[in-house]
Amino acid sequence: MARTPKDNQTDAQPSGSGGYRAKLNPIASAMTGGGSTRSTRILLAVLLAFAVILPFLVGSNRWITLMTVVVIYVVLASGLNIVVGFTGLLDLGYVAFYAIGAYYTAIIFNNVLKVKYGVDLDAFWWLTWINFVVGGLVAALAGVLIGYPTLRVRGDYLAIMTLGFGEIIRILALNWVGLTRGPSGISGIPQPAILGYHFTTQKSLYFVGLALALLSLWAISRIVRSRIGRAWTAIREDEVAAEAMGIHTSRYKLLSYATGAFFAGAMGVFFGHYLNYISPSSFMLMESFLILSLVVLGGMGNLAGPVLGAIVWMGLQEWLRDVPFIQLHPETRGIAMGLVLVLLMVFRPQGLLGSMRVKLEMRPGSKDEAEREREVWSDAGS
Amino acid sequence: MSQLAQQLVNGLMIGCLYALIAVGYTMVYGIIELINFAFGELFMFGAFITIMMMSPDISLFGQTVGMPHLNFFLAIIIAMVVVGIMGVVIERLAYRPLRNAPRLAALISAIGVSILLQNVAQAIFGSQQVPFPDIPLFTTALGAPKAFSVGSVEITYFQVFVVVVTVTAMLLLNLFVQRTRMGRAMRASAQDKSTSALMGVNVNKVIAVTFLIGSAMGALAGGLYGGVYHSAWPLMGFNPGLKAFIAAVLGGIGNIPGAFLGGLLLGVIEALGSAYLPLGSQYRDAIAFVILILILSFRPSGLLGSTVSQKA
Repeated sequence: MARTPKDNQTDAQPSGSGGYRAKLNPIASAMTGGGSTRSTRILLAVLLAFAVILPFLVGSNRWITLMTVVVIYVVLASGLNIVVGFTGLLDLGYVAFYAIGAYYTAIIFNNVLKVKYGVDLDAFWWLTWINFVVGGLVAALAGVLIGYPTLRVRGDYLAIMTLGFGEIIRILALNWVGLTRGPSGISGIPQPAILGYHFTTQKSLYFVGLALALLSLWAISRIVRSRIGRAWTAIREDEVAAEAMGIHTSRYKLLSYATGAFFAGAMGVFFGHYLNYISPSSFMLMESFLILSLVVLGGMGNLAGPVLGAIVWMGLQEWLRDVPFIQLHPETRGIAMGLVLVLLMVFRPQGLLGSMRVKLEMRPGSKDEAEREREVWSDAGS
Repeated sequence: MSQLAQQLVNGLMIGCLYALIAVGYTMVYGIIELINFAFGELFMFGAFITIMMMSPDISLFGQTVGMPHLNFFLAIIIAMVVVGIMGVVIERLAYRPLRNAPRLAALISAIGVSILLQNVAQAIFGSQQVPFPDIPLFTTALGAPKAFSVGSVEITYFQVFVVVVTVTAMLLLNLFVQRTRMGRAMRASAQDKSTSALMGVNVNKVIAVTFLIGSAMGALAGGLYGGVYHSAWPLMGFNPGLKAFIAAVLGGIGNIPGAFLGGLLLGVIEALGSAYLPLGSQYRDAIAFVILILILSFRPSGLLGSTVSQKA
């Protein structure tokens, strides 16, 4: 079929019976979170295989540690992607929820169980696993609390509010010495354990993290493909239209913050048990920007995007750590991060893997991708 | 009582600096609805360039480089020009290509610029504080700031200078926006960009001039801030930048007198809050965010702003 440039008017009127399906299908597929579901699945399957096999292939703990860090950031980026990518709300204080999860579990285990009641923490091994959920819920509650005042105002105020919230949490962690021990942080958080088996080696901890990550990713993929996820996407695309279609936008926006916060909180709990030690310096603002960069790099509004973003960026960062120039000039990392954010927004707003739908949304001017996608669908339909 | 007055004086002075940065936020937001995070970093560059121009030599990239050793006033004007041009270049490269993209894209780009500038400054000037040279006019022979007392309140000449400069700059700016042709074009573009373009307004030029003025004001604030705290460091712009944005929201975004009022109010509230609230000094930086949450909850249009319809 020879293509000729079309103007908007003919674009809006699909011809033939295949045309209507052609108009509906790309949107339907995009709503589920990715234009290319099959390739996404294959990618995930390959990654999963790598994730399971790799720890047995690499000898040094350094690489296993790196992989654990990547796994943590995969979940953080995927959780932030719910808010930024799927719902279209910019959250710049995401690390606060991570901090809340980490501090929650640290305070429960250290301040309450160990110091106040003086019990043997081994007897409470099961609490770690419950805390993954409870820590997430505490963070989700915080997400609702911070999200609530922003509902009435424009989306970009949200960015500042969340940023401020992130800073407030960090300032609290730094100054509320009675609760958080201030800058010296809380140590002695026990490692995860099951019925007397302690996850102490790097490899075993990595697998705990991986299991949590898989569970989180599975849950996120189910949520964004559900009615809730479709509502989020609708809000991202056009809030007024979504409201007119009967979507309770405030409720769904709050749900989006809460869901995003939940995964950060749960990962915060893991982080605390993984390192056995937390301090405010792990939850700086730069960390929020880093997580945002991972989402943007991989592709917003795409399930596989943040996963890829986290693997590429964190892997690169670790790999480049040994380069003498970067050791001498640590600011190179920040320069690269800033440049990547700007260049991606200007030249490739959909990220490395972004779905075509997001490209449409991010760049109203460029219609050619949509045209191509429509053509593929109408060919399939006829 | 004297403590209250002293806090008021300090608060007013910091408030003036917030107001100068807030002008940039409010003008840019008024026209292209973008929170230009980079104003905080341009403020920081303003301070650094002022120091550079005032010093006989300075260490750049770890090398000592000879510098013009100018007086403070000339130095700060040069800083304003250089940073103003930086603002225009940033707009051209990082924001203009995203003019018609959704806000999220431009906002992320703005964060990218901010991170980039912070780290570039760190690469150029190092991560340590760079001392601000003494300004002879405002410093005694012993190196202490010249000051006079009103009752028991001590006011430095530099504080007076900051307030005078800010008020003058605000008045000139207001005159510019209200009386000149370019000012009228700005107001028109803030109302409706495409209609203004149809009426023959060169919107791109208007936006460039807005960035020029906003960045130059930020640089002015940076130079003054450096003079007040006797130093500059790469991360110095972050908090004042955020607070200036909050000041702009407090006064009513898009409104220049509002930015002035918001800045002064925020500075005073912060000074009083950190002095009188329990644990106030520890949580000083949180006060501004609490104000932001309150203002967004109860009067999102700000003190002087008109109601803005919510756009998705």
